[in-house]
Amino acid sequence: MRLKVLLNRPFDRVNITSLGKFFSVFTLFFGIATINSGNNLLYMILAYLLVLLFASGILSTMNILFLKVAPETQDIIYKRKEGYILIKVSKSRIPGFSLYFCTKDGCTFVPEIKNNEITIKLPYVGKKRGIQKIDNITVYSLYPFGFAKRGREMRLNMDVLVLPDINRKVDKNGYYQKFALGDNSVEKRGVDGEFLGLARYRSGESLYHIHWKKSYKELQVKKFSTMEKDSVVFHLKEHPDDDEIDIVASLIHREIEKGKSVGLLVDNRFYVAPSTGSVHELGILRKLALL
Amino acid sequence: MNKTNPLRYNTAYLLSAVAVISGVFARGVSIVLFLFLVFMSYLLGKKGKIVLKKYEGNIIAGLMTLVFIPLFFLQDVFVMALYYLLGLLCIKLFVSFEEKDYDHVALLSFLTFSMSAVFLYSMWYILLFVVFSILLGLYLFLRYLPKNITPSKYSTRYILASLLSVTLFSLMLFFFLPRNPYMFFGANAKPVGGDFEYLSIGSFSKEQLSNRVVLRVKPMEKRHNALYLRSRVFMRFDGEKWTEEEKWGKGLKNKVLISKNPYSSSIMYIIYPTLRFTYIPLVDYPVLLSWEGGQFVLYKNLMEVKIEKWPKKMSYRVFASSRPVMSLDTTVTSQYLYVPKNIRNQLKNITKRIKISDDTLFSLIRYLRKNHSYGRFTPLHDTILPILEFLKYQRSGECTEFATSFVLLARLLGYRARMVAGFLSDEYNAMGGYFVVRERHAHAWAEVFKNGRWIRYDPTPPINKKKKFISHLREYYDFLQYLWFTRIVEYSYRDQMHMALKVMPYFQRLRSNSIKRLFIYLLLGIAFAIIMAYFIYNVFFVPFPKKAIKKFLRYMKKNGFSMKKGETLMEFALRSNDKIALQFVKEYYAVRFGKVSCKKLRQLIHLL
Repeated sequence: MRLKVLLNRPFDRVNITSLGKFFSVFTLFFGIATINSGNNLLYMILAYLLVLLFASGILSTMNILFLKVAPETQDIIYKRKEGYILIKVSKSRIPGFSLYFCTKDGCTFVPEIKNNEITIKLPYVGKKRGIQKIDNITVYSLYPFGFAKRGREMRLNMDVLVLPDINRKVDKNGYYQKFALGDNSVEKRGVDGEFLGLARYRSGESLYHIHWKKSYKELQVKKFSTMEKDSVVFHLKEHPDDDEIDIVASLIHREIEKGKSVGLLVDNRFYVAPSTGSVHELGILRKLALL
Repeated sequence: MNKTNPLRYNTAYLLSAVAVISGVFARGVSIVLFLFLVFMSYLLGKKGKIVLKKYEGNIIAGLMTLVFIPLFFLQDVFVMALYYLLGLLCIKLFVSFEEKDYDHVALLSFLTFSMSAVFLYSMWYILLFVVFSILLGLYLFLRYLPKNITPSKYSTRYILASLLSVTLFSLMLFFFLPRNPYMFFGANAKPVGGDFEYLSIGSFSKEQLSNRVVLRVKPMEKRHNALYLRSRVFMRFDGEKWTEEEKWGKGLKNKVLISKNPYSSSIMYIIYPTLRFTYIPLVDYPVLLSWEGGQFVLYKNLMEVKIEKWPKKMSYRVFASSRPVMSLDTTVTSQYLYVPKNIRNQLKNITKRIKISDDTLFSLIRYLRKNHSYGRFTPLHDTILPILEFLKYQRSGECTEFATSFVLLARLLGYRARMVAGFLSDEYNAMGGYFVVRERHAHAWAEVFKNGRWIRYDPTPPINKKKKFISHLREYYDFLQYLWFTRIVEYSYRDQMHMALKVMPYFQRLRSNSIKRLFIYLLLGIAFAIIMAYFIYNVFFVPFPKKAIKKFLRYMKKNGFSMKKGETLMEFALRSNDKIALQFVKEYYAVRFGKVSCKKLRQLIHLL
């Protein structure tokens, strides 16, 4: 079984570092000097240098042997913005040290794994909206002596959902008028907005809002505006292009941050009723990402 | 000063310290200065003080180069290079540190250490080598780690174990690396010349203080408790010192003689010059000789042998001769009877007291031993010749005084006598079966030509020494040194060939044997490989709790309990009603599931 693993392991990419090249050349010259001198104590050092090179190869091979990676979950990843994915890394039998796990967008350093499973964060930048596939990640290590950078491609097969870009500048160019179906502003009396004035107390109203100082004749209550302000529904065609989706996503993000209820209508496909909150925003963005 | 990774910082310093210590071992006390500098720079570095700026350091290094250039002549190139590198290393440590400077320190340390290997023949080198190689590996391991990462204890332990294996493996590989009998740029170096240019009275005192090993002599068969090793033969005494060496003929100075043993019919195998001597020490019976940093040599039936020894490459012709050393040169017969005029009359008065008979020479020895004791001789009167002062007034002296008196008195009695300088060793190492010849064993005695051959007479009174406990320890130590020199320092392609020739018959036998036997050997080999692999796997890769459980089950089985199917460890321990077992299982659960360290479990396992 183990022999099978050894024989069928993926092909390692070995890049000799500048230190490795220097060490090899140095060993060669040292070897010539030693053979020429015939000094046995120098032979001892030469033997050490050679074994060090040999051990470097063996230990670095062992370091990435029996390594397994599996997808776990992902962070909220917006288009063109760095996020991260989480993967499970396990190593059986032999411990591994100083490993770098890399996607195309960056690496994460893992000091050691010993016979256990750990979860690591890998940086990821989504260049396109929608479901993106990460087929492979690269593992490499300079362990043990930094003579060679031994790396290997590892199959991950992970699907990552990349949300549309929400950081587009949408203040100018009349984007709001273009995509909003209309403002439905409603004046409502609320409890959590700005102070508007006093009114007569009606039965059923909260005692908490009674203005006791002004209530020496009859009970007066404080009037507040409502936080539930406006609601807006954005509209998209059946087959919008990426640019339009990004603009609408940015508009939705901006309006929800302002506190508006935001809805979305895509022709012949779906309608999302207006609402507020980050969960609602995420729901809309997911739908937009999958358009 | 970069202190991001203290382990790396300290490792670089330790590396340089070990390199300097090896330099001290190799080149003596003068390098203590460098050691002091390294220590100072370490202290200053720790406090974050910078003594020199970078360019100042470079200027000093440049100036040092200029100072050392005229000294770079070929003979001492390595000595100078060693000092130069050490100097550079010290300067480097005084200068403000950047990240890449650690690499320079490591490289310089490596060069210093390698350079010291050229001179350091001490057995302690192996200890320094192990420490240095582990430190160098550790440094390389720490070198590429990100700055803010300090390796965990586990990974440090793992790499240290790997490095120890690397070092041990390299010591094994050492024996198999091919040795080359030919040097590419070899020049004929001169042997180091001259031990005693002349032999003056009292000159041995200085030599006798030194404990340095000159040779190790292995008798083919031990016949005596002491070994006389002849080195030089003098025949002319001018009143104060022995000057004229016996001539062996033209061009014989650097040659080795193999001659017949005058005392037996066996062949006498001699010896080539040591690093210190250009002449040939001779012994009375067949021996193998080895010098400090040398090898036992046995040349059987060899007419010509080339010996190449580095750094002093020497080439000597070895030839057999039946008589030249021992025969009496008739042209110089009168020289063997010569006594200086200024002491002749006074010595003659002494000879009158000696009874002349067949046993005259022994009477002479008896006379000298009776009237004189062994002790330090220091001439007090400028007006009196030292030899007369010894014979008439001080009556206390060393071997040179006794031997000189003997030769001169024997000459006056009509015997042809000569003075011999060499070594007398009574330090026999029973473990290795050899005599150790140290500098303090330097000795002088006389030879008299009698019945057609030269016979040894040693008038010096013997000293009885009891063997102390420490001398037994010294014997063990010396035997280790002997092994170090013969098996490591002087390991050569000849030894390799010898080893190969020893192994060859096994292979030949294997080839001629049947396939069945070959199959058995193969199976045995595979079985050995599997056992080794299992051992390595068990030691390095099986986690400790797993091993602990195995031991626990064995312990329970001894007590008559065996685990049932489907039973948990806790249930098993409870069933056994054993307190230690219960404690062990609780601790095991804590380690296995609670991620507690194995410390307590390790203690508990000793109780099982």
